Amino acid sequence: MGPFSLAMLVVLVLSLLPTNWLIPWTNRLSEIVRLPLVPLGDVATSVRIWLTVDGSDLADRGQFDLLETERNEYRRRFHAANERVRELEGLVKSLRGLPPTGGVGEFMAIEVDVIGGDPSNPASPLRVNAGTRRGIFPGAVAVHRGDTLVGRVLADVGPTTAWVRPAVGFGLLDARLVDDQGIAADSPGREGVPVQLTPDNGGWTTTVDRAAAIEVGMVARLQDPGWSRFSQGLVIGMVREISTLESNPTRKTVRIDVLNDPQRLDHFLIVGPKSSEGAAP
Amino acid sequence: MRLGIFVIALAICLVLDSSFLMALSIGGVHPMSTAVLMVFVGLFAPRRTVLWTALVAGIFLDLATISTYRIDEPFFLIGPYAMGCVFGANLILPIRTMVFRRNPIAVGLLTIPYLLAVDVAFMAVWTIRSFYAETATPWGDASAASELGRRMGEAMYTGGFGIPFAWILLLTWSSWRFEVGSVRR
Repeated sequence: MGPFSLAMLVVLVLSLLPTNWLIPWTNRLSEIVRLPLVPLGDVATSVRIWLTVDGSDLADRGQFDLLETERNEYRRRFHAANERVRELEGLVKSLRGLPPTGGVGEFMAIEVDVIGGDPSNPASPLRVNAGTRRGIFPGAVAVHRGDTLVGRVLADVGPTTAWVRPAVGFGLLDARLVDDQGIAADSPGREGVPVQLTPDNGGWTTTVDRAAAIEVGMVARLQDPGWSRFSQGLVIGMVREISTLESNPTRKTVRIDVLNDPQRLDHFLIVGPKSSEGAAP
Repeated sequence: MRLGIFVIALAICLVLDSSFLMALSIGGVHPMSTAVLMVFVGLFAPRRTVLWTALVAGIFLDLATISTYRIDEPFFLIGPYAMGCVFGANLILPIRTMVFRRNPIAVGLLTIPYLLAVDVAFMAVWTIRSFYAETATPWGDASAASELGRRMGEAMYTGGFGIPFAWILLLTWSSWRFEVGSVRR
């Protein structure tokens, strides 16, 4: 019998020994044999764990669907909350932007929701969910996020509803083109280039002297005596395009677009004098 | 054959099998690099060396495969893998002259029958023990047929894994210093 056959015989006998006989020494033998491999095994195990994900942490299909639903719900709530924060900030800004009561007398500010309109026509009036019962009267101005003029309340205000025509639907407007950054530290409407705006395709156009310091990005602030005193100085649009007038090279044409499309607004603020003072001009 | 190289390769394969290759587990089945190594050695080394290395590798595999006695007492059974590896080596030796030995695909494909032979011997030893020893078989309450099916899947997975692994081993072929004429003996 050769050494290999003898070794095989020993292995065969070992494999058939009663377990009680194996327990005392096989554990020790295994530890001794594996001892040199421990450092390498630690590294390999660390790499494996780094490369793999614990299966117990994985959600099954049902849990995954539930988590995805919850994620979408909380994401929706997050965005809704953010939007609400912006609304409230706009409302605060609106209230802060109102003229002092000593200068313009008593006034009311009512938040209204848009309940109807014609999105295809920028000048189309908007129907809002407030009327005379809440103190809205013709001539009150609609303000969005504190500093942007939306339009003016039309005559024939109902008890619970009213119509607001966007500013772009009122024909010619007098305004000033101002640098918004510069005007922020000063009273709005007192600086800049005075212009008369002509409605044009959902916005306005005007012509100014070529030397006038007007740049794209400047804003147009209302300064029109035909409008309520509450609307003076509010932003009505932004300069989007400046081009030289072909018929008169000494002047240039300025294109002004509305800052916020009124037809896309969901709610805004109606500001006007209190009912005791009657409708504003 | 240089035994030092074999010892290093065996150590690396044992570590891979027990620690790393579980990362490649699919459905509870993971490849066994030691089997690929044994086929690689079985294709090139002299017959006597092949049998001894198979026996040694099998004993090391046995000493790395823990079993339990009466639920909470661990022990290591020397024999199932040792005899399985020798059985598999005896399967490889007659057919190694019929294959393109330095082809990784040949090594990978030969790993499948080799590992099946190892598994058959492994299960045979444990089945025999289950008749008298108070130890549960490694496959527990599952049937031997289902365990054999699982091990066939493992053999096939190892065969696929064995192709790139054999390619790496073949890159080190010159370091092993196999005797060219040894396969004829």
